Amino acid sequence: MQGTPDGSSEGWRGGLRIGIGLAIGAFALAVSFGAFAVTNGWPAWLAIVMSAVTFSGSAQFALVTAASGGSIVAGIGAAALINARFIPMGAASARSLHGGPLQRALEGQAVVDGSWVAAQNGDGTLDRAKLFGATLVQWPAWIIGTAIGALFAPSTDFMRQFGLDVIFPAFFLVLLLDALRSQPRFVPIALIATVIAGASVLVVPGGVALLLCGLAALLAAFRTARRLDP
Amino acid sequence: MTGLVVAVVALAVINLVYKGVGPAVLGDRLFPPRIQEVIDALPAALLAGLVVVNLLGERWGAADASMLPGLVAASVAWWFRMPQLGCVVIAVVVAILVRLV
Repeated sequence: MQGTPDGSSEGWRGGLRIGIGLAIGAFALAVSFGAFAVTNGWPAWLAIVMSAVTFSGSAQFALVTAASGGSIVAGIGAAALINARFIPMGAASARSLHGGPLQRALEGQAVVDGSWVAAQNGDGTLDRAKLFGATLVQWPAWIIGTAIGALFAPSTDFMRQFGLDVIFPAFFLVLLLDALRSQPRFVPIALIATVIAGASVLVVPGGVALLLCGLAALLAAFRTARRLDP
Repeated sequence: MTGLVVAVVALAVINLVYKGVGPAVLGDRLFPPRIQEVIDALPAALLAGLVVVNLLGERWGAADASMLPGLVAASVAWWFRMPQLGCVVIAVVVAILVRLV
């Protein structure tokens, strides 16, 4: 399957169009992230800066969860593990990007989950213009949403009454289900991680519990080893 | 406070490196299969952890049964292939209704 010619206005337009849909979701999530960060003791400006420079919901949420439990280092560790997926995603995009190492590294910053998926051509390459277009729309929505959530910081009661506290768990649940639908071999790993999380969060801070969940992923290495050495 | 700023900067730098290193250095090369498989498995493991940690809270202090119907509704919507945003909206609506009752 061939995508749009690289750098074409069609690619940009397609990206912007898909980006609008993704941006609505990002905006809603960002509002609840901003509110969540402020209710956990983060200054509003820092929550907004974090959204501008990180632009990654699950990692930001993990960092705030862990830091509110007093373990900033564990929070950074958990966020770093969650975002480790960007290494292979960036690597897979490498040959579709332009220029020398520095320019390609810069262009690689446009990789975020929704845009990366939307820009796939289906033959291992991706539509560079589409990637840029989709990310370009989502980024401001993510920052503005965070600002609104952080500055108007609704009370916990308000969040509860309007079901806003359900947004994060529901969003992560749907992301998890999507991940498992495309890669059913990870179902046992997700189940083990669920048990680890439930047990460990009883005794350790949330960020540490998340780090421990990452251990479940190591099981995948053993399984691969078994497959490779029959 | 200083700690939080450092954390934000650290996360931003980590992200920058993650996204830049592949395009700059790797090019067409691939990771060894075992490492690739662990990286592929990390999102599933951590997303499962995020759902649980967020639902229960530290020492299970945030456990709130009124969230569950919303999450079940989102799962059902997902099963019928509703887009992510639609599933989340359904979860929110169900949570509001459950708490009204």
